Amino acid sequence: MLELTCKLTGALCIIAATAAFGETKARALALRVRQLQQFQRSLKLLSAEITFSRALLPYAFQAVARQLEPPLSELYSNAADNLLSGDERSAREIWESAAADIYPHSSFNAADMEIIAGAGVSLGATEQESQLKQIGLTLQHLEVALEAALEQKQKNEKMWRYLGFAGGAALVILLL
Amino acid sequence: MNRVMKEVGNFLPHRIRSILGRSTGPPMGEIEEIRLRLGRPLALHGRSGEFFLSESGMIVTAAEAYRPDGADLEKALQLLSSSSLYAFAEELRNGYITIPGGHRVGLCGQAVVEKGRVVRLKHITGLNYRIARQIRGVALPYVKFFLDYRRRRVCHSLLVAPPRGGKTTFLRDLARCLSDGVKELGFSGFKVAVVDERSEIAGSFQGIPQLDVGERTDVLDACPKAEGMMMLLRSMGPEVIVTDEIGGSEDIAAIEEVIHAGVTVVATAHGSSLAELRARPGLRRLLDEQVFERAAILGFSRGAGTVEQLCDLKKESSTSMLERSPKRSRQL
Repeated sequence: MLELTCKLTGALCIIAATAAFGETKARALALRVRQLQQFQRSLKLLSAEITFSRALLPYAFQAVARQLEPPLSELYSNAADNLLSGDERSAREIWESAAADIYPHSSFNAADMEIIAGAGVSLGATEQESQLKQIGLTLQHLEVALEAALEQKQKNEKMWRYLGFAGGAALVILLL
Repeated sequence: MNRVMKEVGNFLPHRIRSILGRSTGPPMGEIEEIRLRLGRPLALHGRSGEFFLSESGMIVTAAEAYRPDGADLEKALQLLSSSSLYAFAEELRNGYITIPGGHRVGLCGQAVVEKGRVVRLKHITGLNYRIARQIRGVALPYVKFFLDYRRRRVCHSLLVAPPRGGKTTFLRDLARCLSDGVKELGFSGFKVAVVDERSEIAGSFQGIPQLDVGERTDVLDACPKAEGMMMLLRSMGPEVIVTDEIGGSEDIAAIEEVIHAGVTVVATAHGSSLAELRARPGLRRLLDEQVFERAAILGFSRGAGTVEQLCDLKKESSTSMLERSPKRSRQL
């Protein structure tokens, strides 16, 4: 009886662990989509700040940060803080550094980070029309990445959940 | 580094700032211009002339001088625009950015022209940091000359000087004196309004005058003179309107409107004498009709900004100021 109880407990633990792993993978896919959509929204907010309020870049970043969730809010707020602190680096370098800082806490992949870092090219260094065109280009790249991320989520979200559970069950059977 | 140079230094790239900090040249307090030109010698202009600095801050020949590169110019623009060049469309069109302290940084590069008008500059490869220095009191000894005691008002006045002759410095101080009042001369101040088309009189930064133009002075910054005078007339109820470098037909027409509205005009014009101004049709008409009541001719005889002659245009008399000093006046 004791042996059965232990085996049952062990089996449940294995299945719970693999199911949790599968759930984590599934959520990461969903979170990546959400964060890409947030970044897309943040660029539109930044365009509005540049076009309508002509806010200086650090203050535009602060205004955008207030409307986002972490980690993207930290991308903008850290960049703003460094710009205001008299940092000797260029706005582009500050942006890239802030992007690198949030990478470990995000669900973005390497290709996404290239797009995000690319948004910093000529940031604050050109007149309005060129600035908005650069943001528009980044939005286009984001659109493609978002489409692929959504497709991946649709295909693989359920798969990971089933895989997590089924994998755990298979492992239990093997061990038994 | 003195206060003024610290103000300007905040908007210079680090390398250039370091060079100036190590400079063995004339005191920074005498520097009037710092010129950054891509690939060409770093040049400073002061009272004693032009000189070039090496990377170690030594005065050298042009051939040995430090030459700002693209990164220096880029960094300078980033500092000048707070990393927000997109927000400086007007400045890019006008060709200068004013920074805190009233210092003006001229921009030079490739003009972008649309429908025959410059809309902005791009590929900026030259920056000219013009250091603004206010000389308080330069107009004080002469304020009495511009007052009409009988009618308790300021006379319509014209300051005439050749380029770099000190007329803007004098005008700024005159505006300050008229606005703050001069107790010894018996007046407490007039409501003064300044049309500062090129941000040289008040050196405004984000609409706030950085130079002292008086406690009762309203400043309309970066506004064309003629339009600015009309705006101030309609909205700010001035007793005196001050503006710099008049000459165009629009300026003349606006001045006539201001005068007919009972507001005093104090303006400046380029030239070495009234006779020279008469060669310009618009100004000739104003002088012939005795619109201006007082004129001061500035020159270089004792350095820039020397008041050489004071002219009472109503009485058609003039006094040379090179041998005498003005006296105190009675109560206004």
